[in-house]
Amino acid sequence: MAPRGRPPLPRGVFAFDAHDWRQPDAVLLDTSVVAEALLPNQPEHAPCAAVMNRLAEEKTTVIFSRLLEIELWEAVFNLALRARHPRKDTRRIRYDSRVRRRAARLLAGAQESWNDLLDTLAWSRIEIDEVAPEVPKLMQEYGFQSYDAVHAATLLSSEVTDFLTRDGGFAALPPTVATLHTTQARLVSTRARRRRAGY
Amino acid sequence: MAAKRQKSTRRAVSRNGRVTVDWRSRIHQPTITDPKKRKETIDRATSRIKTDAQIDTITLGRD
Repeated sequence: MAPRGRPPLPRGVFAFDAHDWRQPDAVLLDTSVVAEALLPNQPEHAPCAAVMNRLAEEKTTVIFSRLLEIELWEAVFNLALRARHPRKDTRRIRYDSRVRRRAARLLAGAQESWNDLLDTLAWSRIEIDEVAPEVPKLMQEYGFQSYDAVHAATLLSSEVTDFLTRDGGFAALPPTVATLHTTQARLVSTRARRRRAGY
Repeated sequence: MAAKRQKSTRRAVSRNGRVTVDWRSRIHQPTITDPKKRKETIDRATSRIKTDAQIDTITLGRD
């Protein structure tokens, strides 16, 4: 049955796992997509791993903040905490030394995987200090947390407008400066956040 | 001895007052270009980390 009514407004938000996705020439990568791609047990692993293949095949230039790598190690360390303490608040178990061996193994694996991925991509890394002056302004304008403001500042300073992210919080950025590429599962909610942000 | 030369900055300020970064001049080209080897490398990279645990990768598992 054909869908009824007007098609939804895209509001500058698209799904990178949709069959009709138009792949940009250059994209900014967010940690949430890379972490999901590198961790096979994650719920959106398949579309995120598939998009990495597409970026490599189509020779899309991938731009990312140095912060992405630091956040990736943070995610993997927290995964080690979660593996040992499935139900505890990670902030309370952060310094449990019994986690360290597992964390070291996972961190080594993550670094190897990230390096493997970079070997297949055309990429450019932007250092945090290059965009740091923009961060307070973005926190003030959009209410971003400091680390999200670093990614947003990296996007704006690179003058690239295509942003591969699963984080709907970036819908606060206007569509004129940020075209968001997310998963189909997050498409509706991300467009709704854009609408609520007044775009 | 001459003072150590300061490392040149790679950022500039555009007319709208925003910092701009020249990322194009430092693009690293892929070192693996053979399609079969590329796919194998990505498959290996995306399946290496074995654990049953899950985290929210948007909050980086900080929750």
